[in-house]
Amino acid sequence: MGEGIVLCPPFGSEYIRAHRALRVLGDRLAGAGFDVFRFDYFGTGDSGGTGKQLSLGGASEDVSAAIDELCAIAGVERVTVAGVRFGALAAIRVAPGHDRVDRLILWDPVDSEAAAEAMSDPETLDDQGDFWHDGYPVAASLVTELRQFDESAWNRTAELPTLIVCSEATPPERLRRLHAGDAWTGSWADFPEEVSWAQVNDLGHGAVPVRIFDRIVAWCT
Amino acid sequence: MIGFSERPAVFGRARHLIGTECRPTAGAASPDVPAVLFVNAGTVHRVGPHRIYVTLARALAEVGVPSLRFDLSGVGDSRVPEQDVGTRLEGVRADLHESVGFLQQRMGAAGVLGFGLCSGADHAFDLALEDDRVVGAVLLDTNVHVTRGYRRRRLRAAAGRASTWGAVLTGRHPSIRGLAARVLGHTPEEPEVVRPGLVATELPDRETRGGQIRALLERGVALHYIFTGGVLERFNGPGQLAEAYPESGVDEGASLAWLPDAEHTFASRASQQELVRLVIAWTTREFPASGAADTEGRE
Repeated sequence: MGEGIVLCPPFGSEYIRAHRALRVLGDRLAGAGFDVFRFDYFGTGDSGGTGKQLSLGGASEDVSAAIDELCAIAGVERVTVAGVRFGALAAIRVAPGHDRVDRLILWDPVDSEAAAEAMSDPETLDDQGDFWHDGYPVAASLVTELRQFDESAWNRTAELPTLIVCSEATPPERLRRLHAGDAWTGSWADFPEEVSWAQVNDLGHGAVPVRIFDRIVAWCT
Repeated sequence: MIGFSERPAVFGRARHLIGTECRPTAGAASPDVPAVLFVNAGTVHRVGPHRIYVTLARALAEVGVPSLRFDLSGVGDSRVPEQDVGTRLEGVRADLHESVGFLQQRMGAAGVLGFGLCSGADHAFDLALEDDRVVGAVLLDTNVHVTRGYRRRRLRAAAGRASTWGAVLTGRHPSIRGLAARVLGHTPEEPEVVRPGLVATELPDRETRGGQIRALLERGVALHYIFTGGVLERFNGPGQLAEAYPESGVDEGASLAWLPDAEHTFASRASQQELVRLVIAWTTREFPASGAADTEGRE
């Protein structure tokens, strides 16, 4: 039985910019012998639903379904879950405690509180009480989920071998606390400003950070 | 509302092209209605900027119009076939012709309506020129020649801004810097922008482009131009197309919508809603359904 990797994407404009990177990363990992599964959360990309229907809980269920699908299609028994930005939050909620998952990769996890703040500009509210952020509808319930994101979920990363890839100039405070804490046993890879998630003028910006791919593939193998 | 269904598509000379079909629920489409082919906007994959291609495809299916969103080779999920020996642009052209064939075969549509934003619009225009199966094109922020009228409007708009006069007086205004560079014999440096994966077509000279538009209109190809305020560097008023191509018949033969408040990538809620409204209204007006037919296509 081989090993599989589920890639959990960001959402919104970050997903558009990361799409090519995740495809190339998937190719690199497949070239290294892994079965790789990419997918879109419900309400994003090619998947059904509207943007307003995206939720953190739903995305977490989708990650779980992706793990099951990969195991069923490729016959793998052990899975690494790799989450990028918003995908890292969904991955954290699912991976620890999942009987098929034995490793976790978190690439620039979003700061859930900061994301909730950015997404909830009251001036963007529509008549159904939902927001608009960076070109996408955002359900008020998603903002609530992000605000309530469980701090203890971060600490559960200690249950699995974990690689954190950090390409932000200033990593989120809770990520730094996690890294500095006594319970931290994972690997940390710094690639300052290798990726610009905040780039807004060019959706094609970016986007194939080879040094990060090298590190992820090396860690996986 | 008649509902829609979606499914993935894999096709092309090397089965290298990945796309998503979107079709009205069975029995809801008319054989007279063309199928829409969404062409990548630059390097953005087949969902389109801010997922607007998905929104549009579903809205079109809801009024009986099937579509295919797909990635050109080297963009999104589609790879470049190893056997391709020509230029990337030749490969992209081949992709487009193959996608027209695939779309007609899958959807059983009478013709194809190209749809593109920015470089995708330029590809859709070229496809319409080269492929008789294309019966229409929706061109968002396509390339267009600037005109005297464009320069006049730009000057008028700039003259109304205090910041322009400040820049002129301090020598920071681009026209002053350009003039100074020409006097001194320097070539102003342009920042180089590299977009991996982007294959763009070149705008021919104005006379040629006018002739191409005329040829399409004479062939009965329906053209719908939509320009946003996001490309003011090349388009700044609804009269510019007719100014640029006065002999083409574009003024009377094509539709044009000018959305000065919309962004190039339709980032705002209002601009997305307006785009969907415009596209649905134009498509259903130009290609009215005459009756229901089987939409399952030929396997």
